[in-house]
Amino acid sequence: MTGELKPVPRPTPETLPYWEATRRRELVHHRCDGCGAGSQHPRAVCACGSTDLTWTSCTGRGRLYSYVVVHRPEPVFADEAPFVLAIVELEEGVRLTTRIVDVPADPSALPLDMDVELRWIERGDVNLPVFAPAGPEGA
Amino acid sequence: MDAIIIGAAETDVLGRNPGQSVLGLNVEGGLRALADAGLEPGQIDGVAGACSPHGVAHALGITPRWVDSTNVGGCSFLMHVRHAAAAIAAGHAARVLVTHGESGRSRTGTVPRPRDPQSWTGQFEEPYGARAPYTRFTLPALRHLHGNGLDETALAQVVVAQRRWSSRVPRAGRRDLMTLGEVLAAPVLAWPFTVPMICMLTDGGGGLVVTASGHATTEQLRRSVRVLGTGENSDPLLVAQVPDPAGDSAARRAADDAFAQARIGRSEIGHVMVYDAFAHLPLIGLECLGLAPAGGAAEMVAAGETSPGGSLPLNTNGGGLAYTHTGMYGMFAIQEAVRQLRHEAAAQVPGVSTSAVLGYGGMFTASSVLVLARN
Ligand SMILES: [Zn+2]
Repeated sequence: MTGELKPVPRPTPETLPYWEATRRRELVHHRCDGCGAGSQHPRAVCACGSTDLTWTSCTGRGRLYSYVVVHRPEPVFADEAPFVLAIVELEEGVRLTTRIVDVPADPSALPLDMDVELRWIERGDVNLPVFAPAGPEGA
Repeated sequence: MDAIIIGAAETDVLGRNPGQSVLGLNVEGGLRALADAGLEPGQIDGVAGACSPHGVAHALGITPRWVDSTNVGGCSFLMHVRHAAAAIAAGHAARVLVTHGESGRSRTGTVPRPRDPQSWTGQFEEPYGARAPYTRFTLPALRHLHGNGLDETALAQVVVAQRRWSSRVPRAGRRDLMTLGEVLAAPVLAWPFTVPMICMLTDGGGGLVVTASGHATTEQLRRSVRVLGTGENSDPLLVAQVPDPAGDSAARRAADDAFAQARIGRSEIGHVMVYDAFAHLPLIGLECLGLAPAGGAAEMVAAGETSPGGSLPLNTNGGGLAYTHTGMYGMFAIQEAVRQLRHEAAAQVPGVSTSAVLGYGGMFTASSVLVLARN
């Protein structure tokens, strides 16, 4: 393969625990021990004033919050078009930008609020959390 | 607040202009705004801009006592007006020149922006292919439509309405009237967004001169526009984490501050400019400004209320969708509001005396609002 490579996240000291967890295929979020609010990326102080924030595992279940179907991406992603770029809201109340995979890139297959579950795609020395339509309960 | 805009002008060329650099566009925008105000560069003592205001000042022979280089994306120029008003009130400057210039299409003299895989977007958005603005700014749109029982037709209505304005504006880049069906059938860049729902990409610039009435001549006061109220605010740096783009968001908080300072009610607003890099922004923006009920903007647009002859003329130059969009559209939204309030616009709203201008920046992460009035 020639030309530009797909972008690989480069952790900072603050985000390193998140990306190290992805190497183990574990999705974590930064949760406030005071009020329970969480975010995908690390915070220094929670909005409630607490500085007690802990990297905590996510169940990997969530819902499809919003999305676009990208038909004309930047050239480095051209081989994947059309793809579903989405915002997923996790059970833990955290939202993140991600992909919806294992489903046709067609709005009729992508109702909002659809249950989704965690998948992984490999990228460089980390893994990217992505999501697929959830299987039946208990399956 | 005693801030007034006494000079406002755009570059001669809007569109394709590979022969002019970013600096050159800023300088031309500044010189034309000075000429519009009847001022010499030596009378300016404050400069603001998102692209090296120091360099622009030097090129124009200005020695500024006050500089503002705020750059939070496309709404930066609304913040420059706000910051200039505060600086003038504090005595830090008497006359501030705000300039914009961007070679969005030709990329002439543009400082390259290297990818930063350590930034928030480089870590949490770009690896998924969320890079071009039309794959990021657009992400919350479906949620807004879905939550209000709407579909992509609401986006197409925005284009139809704004083409009714741009068809009357000779300088607009896209002047053809479009039907709903034509907008929906156009090529898709990122569903539900088709090409006409996405802003143009142009070269251009402009300038503004802000002062206080005590520093202005009778002739400058005659065509001046009063800054009644201003607001600015910010949200999380990742679009997925903005709590609700149409609810509690930077735009709504900025609008509340601007209207509180302006001391006029929403019902007194006769003209609106909403930063429209994409067709969902006028809908969300009208609701954040408090000029449409929550979820009700699409109905107003479809009913023609924002079109020529309607009760709330919106984006009367055609907007970023149809007039011009250099990459940072905020300057052009202010320019059109000033033209309307001076009664010098190409598609003039008869008798208009107040305007609200809402700017967005950085994919919903920053916002600023100006409430302006005919002086
Ligand atoms: Zn907390």
